[in-house]
Amino acid sequence: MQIHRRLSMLDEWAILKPRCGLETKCGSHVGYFEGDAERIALASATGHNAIQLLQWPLTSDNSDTTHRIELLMPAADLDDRIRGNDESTRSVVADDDTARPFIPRAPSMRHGHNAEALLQSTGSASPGSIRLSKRKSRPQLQSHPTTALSYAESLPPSRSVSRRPSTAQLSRFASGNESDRASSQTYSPNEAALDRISLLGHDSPATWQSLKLHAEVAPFSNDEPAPDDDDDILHEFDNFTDKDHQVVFHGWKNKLKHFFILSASGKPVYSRHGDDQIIGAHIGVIQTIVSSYQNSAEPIRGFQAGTSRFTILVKGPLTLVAISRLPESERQLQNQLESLYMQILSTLTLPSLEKMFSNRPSTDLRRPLQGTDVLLDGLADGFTRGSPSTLLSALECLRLRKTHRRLINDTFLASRSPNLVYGLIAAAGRLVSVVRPKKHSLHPGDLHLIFNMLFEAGSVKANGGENWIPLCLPGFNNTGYVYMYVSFLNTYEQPDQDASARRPSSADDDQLAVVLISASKDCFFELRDMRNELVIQLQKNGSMAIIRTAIARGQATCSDIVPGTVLRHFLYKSRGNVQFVMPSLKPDFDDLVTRRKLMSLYHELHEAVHAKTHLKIHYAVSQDACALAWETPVFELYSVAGPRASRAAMCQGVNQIIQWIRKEEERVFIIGGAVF
Amino acid sequence: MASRRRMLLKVIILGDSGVGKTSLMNQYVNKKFSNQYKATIGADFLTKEVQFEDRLFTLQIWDTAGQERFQSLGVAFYRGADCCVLVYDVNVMKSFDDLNNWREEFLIQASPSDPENFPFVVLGNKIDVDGGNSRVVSEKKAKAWCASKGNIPYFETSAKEGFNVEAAFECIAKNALKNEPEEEIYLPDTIDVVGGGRQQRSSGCEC
Repeated sequence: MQIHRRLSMLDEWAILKPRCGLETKCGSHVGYFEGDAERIALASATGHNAIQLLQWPLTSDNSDTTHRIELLMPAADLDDRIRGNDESTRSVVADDDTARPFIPRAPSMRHGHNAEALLQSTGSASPGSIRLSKRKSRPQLQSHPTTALSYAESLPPSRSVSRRPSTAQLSRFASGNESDRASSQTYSPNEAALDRISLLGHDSPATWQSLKLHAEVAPFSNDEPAPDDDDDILHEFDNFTDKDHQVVFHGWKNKLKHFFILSASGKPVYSRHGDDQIIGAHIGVIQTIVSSYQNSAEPIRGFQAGTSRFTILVKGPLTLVAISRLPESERQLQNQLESLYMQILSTLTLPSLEKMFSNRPSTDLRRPLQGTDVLLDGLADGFTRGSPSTLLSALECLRLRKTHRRLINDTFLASRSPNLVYGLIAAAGRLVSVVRPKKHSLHPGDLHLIFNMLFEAGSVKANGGENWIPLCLPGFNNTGYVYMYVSFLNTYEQPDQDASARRPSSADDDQLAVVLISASKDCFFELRDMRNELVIQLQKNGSMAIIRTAIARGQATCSDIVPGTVLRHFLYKSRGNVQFVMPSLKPDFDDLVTRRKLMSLYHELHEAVHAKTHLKIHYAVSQDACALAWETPVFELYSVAGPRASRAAMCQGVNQIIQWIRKEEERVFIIGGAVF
Repeated sequence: MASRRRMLLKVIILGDSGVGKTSLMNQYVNKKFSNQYKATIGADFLTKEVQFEDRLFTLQIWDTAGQERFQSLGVAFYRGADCCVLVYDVNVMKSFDDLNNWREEFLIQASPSDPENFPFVVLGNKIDVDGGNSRVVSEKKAKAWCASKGNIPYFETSAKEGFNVEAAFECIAKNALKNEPEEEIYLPDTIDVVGGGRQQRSSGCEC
């Protein structure tokens, strides 16, 4: 059966009433978006007086619900709007020493040495690379604590002012001062059900007080029937097996998230869901939308249609599109699209990709990419499930004692072969040890691609034994291939056993991998020898047993880390190390639905503290959960507690986590690493 | 998924407004014809699976608007086409005269690597009208023009009666396929690590 949908007819356009239009200017285009439940019509009047009308999705639906359609304008326009209407903020020093701290902390923390955690790091690590320098991430105390707070000004200062990270406003928040709303924000999306808790802390309503008397409840566990789409995630990864086209199309439409990649000529390159028959017409529409904005000052980056957010990333000859009904921001989706683009570069390299399209604009890229769908699917599904690593652009390490990690690093360095560029030991998606040359650092994006290949896509471990994989690491160098030797280790392996004579793999065998990367394609045997030597030495000095124990122990739960805390989960990113820590998803977020809700909450928190650069602390209460995000130049911390947790208890938990991280810093992060 | 590996061919249909481009496509894909004329706005997109010499292909057909005011979108639509179909109305002399413009416009905008040999197919549509009595462009004249442009295959069709439509599109698919290159194998360079694998991008704003 063929799909053939008209974009729109002129006379149909006349019937469409401008019910909820939003007129906007975009470069040389005047765009007019209009939509009802199932379609967007876009009329874009260009200098040539051309009109295009588009519908999305390309189906007819009788539903009469009206949605507001929002066009996301290019950044330049947004800037203007922000300057025109928004009050920006900047930090000033206040002398109100009687102010109550927003984050309650022990008296010693107010002015004592602990305050250094709040001070800005002088480290100017290049933001994109894991810095494995010898220097600790813990910044030196550079000034005495201040009582500065952030302050809203009615004067519109330049953006550069508001973007400057402030060291001052972190240490103290004044209460009773309207202005502190500027840097910390509280919202409760469900005011009818739960009274707003005032940031100022004076007027806790009676309802709230009585609620607090109830026993503590876990996040996302309230008994009210969940909206239908809550469970959509359960079917998100199902394949279409039905023969009936209508059923398949319905299933396709109900996916929470779509990823499309198309070439500049509008040929599909990749789609997570649906075959050519389903996506063909949609690809054409996307191509048209993107093309209509290509000549404007800035290409279109995204727009909102009903509950779906469209995000578009144009990279040379490729257009990448994410269509998401999950609560994710444009910035976060762009990040995910970047990662998919890196996966394509990892297969083809940039010069090869460009050459193919300059030789032949009509290149059907699906053929050179054949077999890599599983990797793209792995990434895409990871994003749909919610990936803390991608959200934070950071890596997670296996927690080990400092001396143990140093021993592993030294063993790794000692067995290094001459042609090695990078060496990694990774356990279940977490980094155990890295060796690297002094002048090269490892890009988190590259590592994410490797981890996806090793631990998510299942393409490598399915092979068992050893692998020799040519691939491009675009963050390191996007022009050529490096060669990756991968061996999954049985942590129980005896030193005298040969790699080929191992027992049939069990689940544990897939968890620990040695990855050795060389720029020379003739190094397979050299790297294999290195791996054998490395494994023997790790067995001998007991490191293998230590790694095994650490893997078996898994991530600590939140209550292991901070006994008795109200917090149920957190993400802590050390900015200097480009690494993050999180507790186990057990017991509260073990299933797909609650896990996704947790990740959605993190995405919202992340956007809240990143969208407005002056917002450093963000506290949110909903029917489902309480959440607190805290951003400083040193770290980003996102934490979640049950809906009845008190703000004071949350703040106490957050401070305890920070103390724990400071104590455990050299265990949970790889600091320094093995450099040669 | 097996269907994913199917080769995709992009076909673009050009011609004056009202010559029956959309009707031809509708007839080919849906076996339907409507006398009612609705101008195409921007472009229509359609996919159809075709079998040719035991191989399955997906034709991605881009039916463009004939009206001049839509030509600003040309590049986006023309770029990377595997075959270009030029349609005229045998009853309207101007639509035939304009074929030259359409062909040249396409070659300029799409700028294929080998313009001389880019696959075109010409269709003379609406041969059913008035029993052929209102016809103003003779088959001979059309064929002469096609021959002069590098032997472009020529078909006379009736979208209304479905005459010759299937055969025309089969030829279109065949021509699109002719443009298919030998499988290119491109081996990327190996990186010179000593010279420094450069760190050329960051993972985005950390602020």
